[in-house]
Amino acid sequence: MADVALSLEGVCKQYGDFEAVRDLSFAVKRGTICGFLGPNGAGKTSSVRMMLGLSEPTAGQITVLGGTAAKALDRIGFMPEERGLYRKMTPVDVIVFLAGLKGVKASVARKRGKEMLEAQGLGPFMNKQIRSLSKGMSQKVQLISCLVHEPELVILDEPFSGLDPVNQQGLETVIRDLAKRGATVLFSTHVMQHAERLCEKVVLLTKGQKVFEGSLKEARAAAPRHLDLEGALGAADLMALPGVASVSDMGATEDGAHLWQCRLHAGQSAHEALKAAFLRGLDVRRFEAKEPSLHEAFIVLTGGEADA
Amino acid sequence: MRNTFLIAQREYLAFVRTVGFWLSLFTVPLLIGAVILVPLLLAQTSPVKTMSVAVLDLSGEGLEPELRAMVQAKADAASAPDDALARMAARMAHQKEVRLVALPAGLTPVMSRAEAAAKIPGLLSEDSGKPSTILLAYDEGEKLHFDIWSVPSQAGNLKDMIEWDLHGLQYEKVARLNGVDAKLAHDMRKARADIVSLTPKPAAGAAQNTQVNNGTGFIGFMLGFATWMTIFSSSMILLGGVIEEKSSKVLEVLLASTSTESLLIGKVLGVAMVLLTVGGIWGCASLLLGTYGLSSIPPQAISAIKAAAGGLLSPLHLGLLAVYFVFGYLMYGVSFAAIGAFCETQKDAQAVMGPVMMVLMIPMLCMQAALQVPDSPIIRWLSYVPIFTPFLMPLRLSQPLPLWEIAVTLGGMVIVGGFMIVVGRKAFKQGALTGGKLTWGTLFRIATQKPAA
Repeated sequence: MADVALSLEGVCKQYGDFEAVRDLSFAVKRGTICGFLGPNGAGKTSSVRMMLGLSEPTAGQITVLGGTAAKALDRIGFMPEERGLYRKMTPVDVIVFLAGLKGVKASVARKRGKEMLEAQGLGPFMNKQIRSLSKGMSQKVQLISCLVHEPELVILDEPFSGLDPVNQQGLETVIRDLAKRGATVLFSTHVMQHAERLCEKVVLLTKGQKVFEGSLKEARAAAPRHLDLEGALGAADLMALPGVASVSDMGATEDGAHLWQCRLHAGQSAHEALKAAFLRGLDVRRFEAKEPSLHEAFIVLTGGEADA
Repeated sequence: MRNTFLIAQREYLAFVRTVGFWLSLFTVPLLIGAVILVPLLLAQTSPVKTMSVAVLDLSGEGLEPELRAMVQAKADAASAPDDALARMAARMAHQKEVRLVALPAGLTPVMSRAEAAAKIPGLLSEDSGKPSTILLAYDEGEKLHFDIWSVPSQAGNLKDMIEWDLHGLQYEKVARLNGVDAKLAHDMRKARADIVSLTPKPAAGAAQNTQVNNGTGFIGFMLGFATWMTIFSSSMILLGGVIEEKSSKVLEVLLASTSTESLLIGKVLGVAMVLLTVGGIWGCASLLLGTYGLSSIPPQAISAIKAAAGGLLSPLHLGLLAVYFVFGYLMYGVSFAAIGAFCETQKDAQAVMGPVMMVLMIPMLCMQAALQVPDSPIIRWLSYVPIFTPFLMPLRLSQPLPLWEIAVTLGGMVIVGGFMIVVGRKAFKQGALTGGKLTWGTLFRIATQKPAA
């Protein structure tokens, strides 16, 4: 258990008659990046709040950095989905104040905060009131506030929402750097591309229940692979290939042929279908075997209800 | 503890760094000081004009010595070195010194009233040595008449001073005309009963002077009013602060960084520090003004104030006041903070605060009524209601109270206050993390919520 930063066992959360989280169990190893995925309303924020001790689980047990969240608060960095800072304070002051709540001396927090603000290009704005900053700048200040005390566990609730592509890229770099220095990062999102680029492990939640926990490779395996074939081919010939679940005509090509997308059964390799196509002498002029994206895996695993 | 202090410090600095704080800090005492000091200063610095009074007796009853004695008595009172209260009252009321002067040439006790009335206007003057006021006495049948002529700036002043003495002369005359011995009639007019207004002390059963009693009642009212104002205004500061944090989404970040207890206590302490700052500055200002003011207040007045304050400044009384205040502040502070946690805007808060304000106005209205009837049963019974106790007990403590009443009110306040603080803490956390509105149903659920397994 020493190498586990966060573990949930049979956690449930009930609001009146509504069950927001049901029997949720998973663990996150120290020094890893874990994506906490799920469509809107899946129970991610409720789960995150329980991990932080902001709300009590109706049932189950949560262990954070070897103990309760209350005891580990100083070692946790948290960025909520709804960003919030004191609008009349300066970035430096708000960083020093929040770091102080985590037990960092004011002088240390001020020095670190200034360095981090400089690194994020906010040097000229560090002594201006937060209300005068743009939304993107405020989000950077929020992120610095949650990292300035060098937490062992960083929990980010929808960290990429509201950021432009450049800042999203910057945040991804920050998250990778955190993991490099040994911090554990758990971030919730419903945008799969970020998870795909960052995570070693994902936990997928839908309707308050965990539907998947594992590596990206394992997640992708849950979704069917695709085999794109181009040539003078007919739907019936393609459907007869082994492992093909469905085919879609993607349109005609310049030489009068057609591009077909064959969706394979889950766990089925494209190799068998391709081999059969050549053995049967089908007019295949070009082929491409595609791994499913996490996005596709997400849709399959959530039963197609994702809005990502 | 560390976080509680940090939050208190931030709350304090956030408030005292505003322009509004400094404006209100200095303008309020300046205004109050102005209201108190300006009349005193005016009374002291305005040039004191002398009212020079001449007496013309045309009544034929030999009233002149009596009339001059009346005026002289007022002149003596206004300048008596050993009666500062009377001197000050006389000076503030009239801003004049009184002295008797001889009749000017042209006026004689043997002229008619018409002749005198024709000459007097030309003889009145504010110049030294000339009469500014002439008291003309004459007789018509059984009735004495007094015409008081004066320069416009002194119109009515002498009448206010000696009106009842002049009525007494008429009373003496009627007595004499009805056969009463002249000396007896004179003595009857001068005779005065010694009247003292007394009310019983509720606890001791002894009597005390009504003026002293009214004084302590007024001080009690002021203490109750000050407690109400302080608790209400500080709770409103807390409410506003929490609404700001809720609307700017900071509360969730804070709750993820520290315990709800630290956050709430820190906020309450921060506002308490603001109150102490205001109290300290206003206290120092009062001390300065008071030191200056005391030199202008006659010793008799100071003695009267001391008598009215009586035992109100005893350590026990001050201790009880502090306990009632602290619990009241905690009860209302935590409750208002919890209300704020459910509000995104001031408009949301207004909707919730409407009924709360109506309840809070009850002790305020009672306090005003208590000025007339300090021991009203309604006030006594309402002071047993724990949510009103912090406001009404400071008022009631101005009168001696049986020990059991103090114990009962303190006990009730501790129990209900403790319950309000526990529920307020839970409500604060729930409100901070949800977007829901505060309803009676929500409050009931929070109050009856069992701890999670």
